[in-house]
Amino acid sequence: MASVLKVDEMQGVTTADQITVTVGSASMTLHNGVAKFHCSYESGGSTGGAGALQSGDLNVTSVADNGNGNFSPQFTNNFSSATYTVVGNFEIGQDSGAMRNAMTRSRATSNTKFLNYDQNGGLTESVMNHNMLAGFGDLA
Amino acid sequence: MASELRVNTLKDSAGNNSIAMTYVANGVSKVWVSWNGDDTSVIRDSLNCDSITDNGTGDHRVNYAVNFANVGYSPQMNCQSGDASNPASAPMYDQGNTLTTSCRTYVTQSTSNGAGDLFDSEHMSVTCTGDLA
Repeated sequence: MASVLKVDEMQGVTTADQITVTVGSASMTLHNGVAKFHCSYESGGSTGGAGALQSGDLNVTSVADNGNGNFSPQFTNNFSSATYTVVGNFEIGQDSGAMRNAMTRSRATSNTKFLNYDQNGGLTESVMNHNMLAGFGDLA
Repeated sequence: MASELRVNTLKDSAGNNSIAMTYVANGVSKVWVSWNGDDTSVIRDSLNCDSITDNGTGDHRVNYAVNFANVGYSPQMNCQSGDASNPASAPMYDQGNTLTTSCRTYVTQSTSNGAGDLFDSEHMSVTCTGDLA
């Protein structure tokens, strides 16, 4: 029989953040595997301007536009240390043409810097419509 | 005493924001790791990562503590550029190197002549979603 549990908050009995879920034959602590932030934001500025957050983000209060192709999503709740894991991707915004690339440049507990490059290593944002990032680790 | 709750769906107390347990169990990241590509002995923080193997400059393998059920899981990776004017590229090595026990990463950095040299990035990140064994 299907069951539904309605709650606003779950805590472990012994330790608040220790809730175990079974995945396959393994067990893991739920909060460790959950993304602590994710966001999608404008790079090229076609909708809402460069750095404009798209709806549906998690734990991101704004995106700082540091200049051409240089953005820093700002977290609402900070990470406990700058050792967290970040993965990111981007929309290239064209069906053909020069290669583009994107990657992190630095990370702090309160934000992470993500750069967009053109094929010559120059910063660019003209054809990249969106950047999409997610982060994993422990919040402060 | 440890307790176990078996449910199919979670909702908030208003009955909104419903999520089936299959998305909770299957959708969370099973591996994430942040490490120093210059020094693979430095794993900054991780979940379900046993170790990093250094195969040479720009070439690393992430070894899992608990393996995946099959090789159909999704690894994602990212690296930090060495400097603002020389971007790096960070793909997975190839499909044959995505194993139930590990995945292999490969990083190149562009040079002024447009070539790509293998490069050890100071900040490497990998996450994996999929089913554990």
